[in-house]
Amino acid sequence: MDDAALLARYAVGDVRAARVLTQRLTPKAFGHAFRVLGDSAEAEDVAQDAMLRLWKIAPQWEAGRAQVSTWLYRVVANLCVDRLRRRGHHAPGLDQIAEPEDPSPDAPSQLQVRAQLDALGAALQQLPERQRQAVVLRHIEGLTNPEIAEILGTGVEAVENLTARGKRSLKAVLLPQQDALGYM
Amino acid sequence: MTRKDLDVDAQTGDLDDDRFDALLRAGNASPPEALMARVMQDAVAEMPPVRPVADAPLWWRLMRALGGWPAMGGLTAATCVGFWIGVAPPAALPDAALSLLGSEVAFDMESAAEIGAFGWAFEEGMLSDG
Repeated sequence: MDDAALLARYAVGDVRAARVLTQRLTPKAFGHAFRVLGDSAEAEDVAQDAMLRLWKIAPQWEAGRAQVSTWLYRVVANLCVDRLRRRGHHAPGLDQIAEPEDPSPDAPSQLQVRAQLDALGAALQQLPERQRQAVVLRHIEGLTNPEIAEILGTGVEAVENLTARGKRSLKAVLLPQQDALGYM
Repeated sequence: MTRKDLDVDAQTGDLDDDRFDALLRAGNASPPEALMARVMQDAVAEMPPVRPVADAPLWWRLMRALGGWPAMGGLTAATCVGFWIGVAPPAALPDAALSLLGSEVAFDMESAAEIGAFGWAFEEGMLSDG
């Protein structure tokens, strides 16, 4: 059953539909917010707020209006922008990012993976907000460019530029660390 | 990411795209259980109340008594078919209304002749007092 049908069932009091939607959509909302904001607590707040807005709009949801997940990503993206603006958009400078720990030769591979993911998270925070949102939606969430264009309120060509520039910037940040991280 | 980007990366010895994409996808963060529980609590709290049947309007109760939306669909279809048969009845269909009433309407030519004959009779003095 698709998200819109589940939302319609939720609107008439189906708790099971709410449970399925929670399990299906909350990870998406949280994952996107976490990568854009780089802070787990803030990402939780944003995800909960976005899901709350979804519950509130359920009785007025028009079938065929938009995909529920696209609508949710758009809400999350806007909430993230609000928070970044409130923060003053102070992305940490390169010198403020902690160097990933150099895994010892006998360290478990999980530690290396953890270090890689930490480095990726820190590198994402270096990107301008729009590039970061586009890169996360395209390369991590796996959305299509037209979907991202709808979420960010821009054109498909602009999304292609954002993701290409964002990915190049990410690589530029991560390249000097590749020996320490043991990848690429 | 375009093919051109990939070529440029390969020429400059930049990071390997496949491994880079794999790393990006591996970074999927899973939400804490506490968050899932809070979202579910919100869902229950915000769930629209189901309207009790006693509070429902008369048309709603009537519709429910007749069988709900499926019955309404059947009634609507039957009404449309009946209306269409009334507007354009099939040739093979007998005139149901006349059959039910048991009467036929026929024009009697002799009645018209008798009315006309009254004038002639008057002129010829057949109906005069004298």
